[in-house]
Amino acid sequence: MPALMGDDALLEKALKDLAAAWDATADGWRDEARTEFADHHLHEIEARTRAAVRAIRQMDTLLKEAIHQCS
Amino acid sequence: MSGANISDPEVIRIFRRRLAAFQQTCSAALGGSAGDFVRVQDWLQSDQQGHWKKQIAKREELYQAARRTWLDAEAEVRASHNSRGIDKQSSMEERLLMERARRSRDEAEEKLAVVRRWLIRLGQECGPLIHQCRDHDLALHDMSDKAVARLDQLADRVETYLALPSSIAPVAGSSSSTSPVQGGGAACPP
Repeated sequence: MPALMGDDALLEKALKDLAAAWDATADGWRDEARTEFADHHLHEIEARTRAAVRAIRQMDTLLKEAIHQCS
Repeated sequence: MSGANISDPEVIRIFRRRLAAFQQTCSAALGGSAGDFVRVQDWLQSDQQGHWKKQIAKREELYQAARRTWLDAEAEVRASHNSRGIDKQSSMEERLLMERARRSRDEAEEKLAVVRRWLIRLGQECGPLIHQCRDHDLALHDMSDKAVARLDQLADRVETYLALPSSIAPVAGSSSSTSPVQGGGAACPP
């Protein structure tokens, strides 16, 4: 029986870690350039990653159901 | 132009490395999900289809054997009614065994049908999702590249500003490299 890799969980954790790393920059960097970077780059990356998590999760649901019904 | 406020360009460089690592994780995860689909599809096609086809053949044989046994029992029952020798009253037991063998064969056929339906369904439903994952991978790669380039630009500007002689750089405060860069445009957006 094939084991699924849990890539959605991996991606979610990576996103969480990235957010924590970004928050950590606030201690030493606090200006408009930082805000601009968040607005123009980081938020887009986060939104796209969440969409990727949803796609992976949808696929995982189908694959798990297939494995369950066909085992 | 509003001022930059950053203590050390290393803050930006550290995050830049984290972002680059993040992009690699995304790429691996998105590629991995396509791999999951291929593995399940292979398992259905090779393992499960093969398994249930063999089961059907095996159970069909058992059913046919049970059926022959039942027919023989039926014949014995008929013969026992006509003679005083063999005394077989009923073929019910043989019939129940035959029915059980038939149900077992039918179950295997249904299992094979389920496997085949899933192969079709996964092809139809996972195909578009895999395309989506590939699009997300490409988009994230592109976005990360641009973000990393921007961070490099920002860090370079801060470093350049910090390298300026103190007589040129309008620093308000101490001249140590760890003091916040203020006032200059080193990390300001264009």
